[in-house]
Amino acid sequence: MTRPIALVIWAATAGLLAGCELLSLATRRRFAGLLALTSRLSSTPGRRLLLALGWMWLGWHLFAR
Amino acid sequence: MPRVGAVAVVVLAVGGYSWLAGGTRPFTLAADVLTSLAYLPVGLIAWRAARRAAGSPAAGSPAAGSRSPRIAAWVVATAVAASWELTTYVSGPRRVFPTVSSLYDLAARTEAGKATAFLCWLLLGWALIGR
Repeated sequence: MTRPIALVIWAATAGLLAGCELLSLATRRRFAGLLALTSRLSSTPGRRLLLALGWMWLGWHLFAR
Repeated sequence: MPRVGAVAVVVLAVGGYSWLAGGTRPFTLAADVLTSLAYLPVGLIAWRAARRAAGSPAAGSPAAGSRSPRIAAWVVATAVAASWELTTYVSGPRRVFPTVSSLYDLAARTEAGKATAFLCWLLLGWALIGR
């Protein structure tokens, strides 16, 4: 395994995630797009709180520390 | 037309703020303050959304007869991404097996890269908890 191969796998993974959004567009939202997915993930106050804490931690981890 | 103007102001403000944050370095007061301040608007929007939902009779439940869109593709794609992240995390050296964090470090070496990442983080916050 070399770094270029690892990067190609990362690019393919990103393509897979982008493909989910394209699939949603192509099927007229029969499959969830990113916004529908996030709406579903944050559909209850408890989930929303957990997501908020996770989002705050991510920002702190990436930008402040 | 005023709505278009308001949207333009918000886009400019968020873009400018991200650019400012992109110019900071971790472990500095500026980075701490700019990251913390970003919590406020998203928290405020989330609080307003929660109040709106609490006032709605159908809060938290899908409308009768509506079908939720399928999320199977996201589950598979996320599982693949998580598996590869785990593989790279336990493999070494990091130069050969970059994780998401090390890819981010590479992107964040430039102000534009870090500002873009900050903007994406703000948008993620809006999508997850601010709507």
